[in-house]
Amino acid sequence: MSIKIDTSLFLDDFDAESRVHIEKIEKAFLDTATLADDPTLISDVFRAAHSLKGTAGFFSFKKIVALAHELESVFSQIKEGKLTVDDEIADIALQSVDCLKDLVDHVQADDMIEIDGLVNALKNYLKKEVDAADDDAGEINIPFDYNCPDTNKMLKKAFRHGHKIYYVSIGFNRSLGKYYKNPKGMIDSILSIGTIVEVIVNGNFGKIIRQEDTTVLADEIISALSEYDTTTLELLVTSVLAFDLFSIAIEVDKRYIRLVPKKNIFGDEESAEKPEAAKAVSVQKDQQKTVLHKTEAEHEQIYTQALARKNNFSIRLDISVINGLMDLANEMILTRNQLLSAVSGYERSIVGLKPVLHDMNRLSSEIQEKVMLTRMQPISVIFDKFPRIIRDTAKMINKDIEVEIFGGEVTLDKYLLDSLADPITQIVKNSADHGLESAERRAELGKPKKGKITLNAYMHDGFALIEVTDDGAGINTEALKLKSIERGIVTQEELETMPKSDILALILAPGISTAKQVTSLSGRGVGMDIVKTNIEKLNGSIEIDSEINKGTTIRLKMPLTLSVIRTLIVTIDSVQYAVPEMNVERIVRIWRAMPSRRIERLNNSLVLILNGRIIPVVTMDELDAKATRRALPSIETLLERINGRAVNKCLVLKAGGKSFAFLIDDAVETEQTLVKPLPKYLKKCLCYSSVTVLGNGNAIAVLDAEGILRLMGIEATPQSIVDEEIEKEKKEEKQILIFKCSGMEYFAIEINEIFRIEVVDPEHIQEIGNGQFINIAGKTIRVVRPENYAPVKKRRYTAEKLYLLTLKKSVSPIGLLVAKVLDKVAGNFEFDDKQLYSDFIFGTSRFNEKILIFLNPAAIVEDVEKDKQANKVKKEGGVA
Amino acid sequence: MRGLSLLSEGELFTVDVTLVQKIIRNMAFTPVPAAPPAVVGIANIKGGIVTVLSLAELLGRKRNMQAVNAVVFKSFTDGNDQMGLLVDHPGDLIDIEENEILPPPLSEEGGEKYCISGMAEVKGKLYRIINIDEIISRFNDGNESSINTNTITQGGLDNEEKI
Repeated sequence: MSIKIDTSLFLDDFDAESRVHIEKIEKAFLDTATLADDPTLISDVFRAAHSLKGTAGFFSFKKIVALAHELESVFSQIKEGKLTVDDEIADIALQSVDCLKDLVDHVQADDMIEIDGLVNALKNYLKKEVDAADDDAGEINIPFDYNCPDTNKMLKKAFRHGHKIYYVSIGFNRSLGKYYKNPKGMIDSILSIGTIVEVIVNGNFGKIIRQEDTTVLADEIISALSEYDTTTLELLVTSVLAFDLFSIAIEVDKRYIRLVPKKNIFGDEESAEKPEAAKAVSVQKDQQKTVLHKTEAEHEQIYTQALARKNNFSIRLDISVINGLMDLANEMILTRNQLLSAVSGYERSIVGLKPVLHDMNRLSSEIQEKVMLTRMQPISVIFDKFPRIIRDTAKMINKDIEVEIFGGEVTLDKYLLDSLADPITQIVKNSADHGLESAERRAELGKPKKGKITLNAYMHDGFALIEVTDDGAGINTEALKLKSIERGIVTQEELETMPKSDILALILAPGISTAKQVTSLSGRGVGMDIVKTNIEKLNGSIEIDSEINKGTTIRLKMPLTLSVIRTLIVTIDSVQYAVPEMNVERIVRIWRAMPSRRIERLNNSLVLILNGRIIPVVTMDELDAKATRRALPSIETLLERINGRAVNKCLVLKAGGKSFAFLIDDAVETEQTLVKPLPKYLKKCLCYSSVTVLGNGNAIAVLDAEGILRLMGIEATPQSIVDEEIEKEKKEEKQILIFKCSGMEYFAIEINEIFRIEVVDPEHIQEIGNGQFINIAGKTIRVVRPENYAPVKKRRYTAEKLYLLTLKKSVSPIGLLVAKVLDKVAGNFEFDDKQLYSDFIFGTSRFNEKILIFLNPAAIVEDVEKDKQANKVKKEGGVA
Repeated sequence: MRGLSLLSEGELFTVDVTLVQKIIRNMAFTPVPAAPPAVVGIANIKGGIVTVLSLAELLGRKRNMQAVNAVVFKSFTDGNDQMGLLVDHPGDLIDIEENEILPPPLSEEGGEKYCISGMAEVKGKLYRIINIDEIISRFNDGNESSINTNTITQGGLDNEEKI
């Protein structure tokens, strides 16, 4: 029976696991500077090689085992401080990594993959470096007296002939013959490869033998040994052989052999010849080593912890499992909603139903959110590959390039990440090959010899931006223009009116390359075209900034395919839309009583004048007409519609430094929504960036502020106007009254909205219908609790004295009932309407570290009037 | 071929039933202004976004307000591009003999000219066979500006090859 079938079941696991190990090694050696300084990393790398060897061994992948074994040996030397990390070993290690990857790719057919070269390279490196390292090693304590003239003379002579000096110390037990059955045999083999300078038998109490005649020496040693049953034999030997070979040649385990450093023997007189710097280095190395040894146990602990962490918090999953989970979570939300509506009538009759429903509501939403997050991965998954790619590329094109990476923590949907890897690679290769100049050219320009490529990722305005920047030659726009005309992509006339950004974008057109020669990497003008195509397939766009001799930035702007963003849900003509909250500057309510904010006709368009700012107004009707190439609704119709409403609401949306006001019917709520890519059937709309599914299961479109700006051709407000506005805003100081109601919240209202402040006795407030009224100086005043109009709690008053703020602009007298009037202040208040939202407040503002809720009296008045009208209608209906 | 019969504006159509994922009666959807006329809205079906198109509009007719039932088709790409056709009435399964399929009528105009791949007579009734692939690809071609048409078609081909 074969066990092959059994192991093959685990091949996938092996594949996944071994790749993790290999990548770990690769990553570590790409940054040798950090690796050299970080013992934990070295330890990690060592373990990676070791585990790889282990798992491969289980499957009997001999080649992987062999290579991993050599790597492990080298790493263990580094770990013990016997070796330092340098470029040479980094090269070998990386080559081995490549080879290992190949081997893992073709585990079942690794005959074709050659590993002997690498194994030998690693072995040789180990040998050479250990020798070198031992030459540098600190003093070792051995019992020979080097200063004895004879010995010293012999040693000096040996050194001059390139010999190394070894101290061999072996225990002998005649009865057991533990290490050497025949001491003579060992002495003979030592003598065949070197000279024995001095011998000590039985340590400090024993005999010192110094004999130049080798035959006599051997006899003397044997006879000395024969005096003891158990003893030690210590030899000072010189030999040309390197440490490893010496050990093999005399068939004595390395444990019993020490290489005696030069300075150990000759003291300071010789080492003084060493340059100071070198000495400093060696001292430093010694210190490093001690640090290393001291903390070894610590590292072990850290490693175990890290391992435990990893085992606990990271698992590999098939993407289909996650997709399945996502579907189920969504399905659950839908079912929840059905349940909620089915039992909505029984909330009171079934005890305890409401909290259970509430909990289920929250839990199912959370589950959906968490499941969504599982598909997100940090962009470092892609970015981390680049140090390696750039290193290899740099070697290939003979340039010196350093890489800087920022924003690796930005998380994106796995699908998007996978599709981005190739385009980014192409761009980076382009930057390395064409962007960066040769070292000579850089020197001429006075730039640092090392070229720099920076990768950066960040989120902005609902897009993920990925930038590849080089500090190279920049794009030669003149050459680009010529080439583009030559290829017939643009005409001379077109070019004259083209903005620089559009000219730079020509480099993305097929067949355009400003490279003078085609290299192995690029230059045919195909690469960027493919990049463009791929990015556009993903709905992204490419922006290019470039300056001659300063460098080039290529920016990929990707709409978030699958991400959770906060959106404001708005309704327009009873259709819901989501607006990313990051685009929402503010929500504005416009009504006639407030002249500082109004919608006006300016030339042939509508503008919102908001505290002196002029903001273009966009309506859904216009978007619809523009996108479907129908006639735009006339300004008159729009104005008529706007004027027909008592209150207009709009969102001031901002994107890319521009703002516009978007008319809405209502803002419903803010919701944490899962954003999904826009179906291809909707791409022509241009005003949506994606679609999303709301908590209630409805699919709605997400408005794209930037797309709307582009679709409507809105330009940034000229700076002069902006400046004026800022001036105006500054001058517009408001006088406000700060007061408290039944809760702890601070409310504020503009003083010129208030008619009088009256002191009232709560006892005198009468309840009539669903309103409260009070008689003051013969006038019946409707009493309104501000708490009803703000998202705060209302409590019952127990005080004997309350205040009533009567409002100016009301049809019938209305007063706000407050507990305490605190202060009257003047100032310039910026409203924040993102945190708290209600139709009846402007928003919140800070004053003396307190948060003030700014009431909108006009809206309250309007509401009260509406209520009055409703009551009237009801009464009439009742009579009829 | 096994077909699903559809009734749209009193006319009978049929589609290859193997392409159909499900039939949803009284389909609820969210209208999407600014979208091409054939798009009536989007809907969430099992967590996926389905774009609902009007069969009548696709065939170059006015949208029929009686069309409330949707035939949702299987996804052809890995994206978020599932599509549903809004029809008056999804009907029964019919068996069509491949060799009895007649060529499409020559007189057809507009969208119909391309979206009908043939005709078949089953039990005395004449059905027009709708070519879903053609509808989707024509829809998308018409959607892109002339510059991008190339790349998009290429993309489409790539996808088909993958399948």
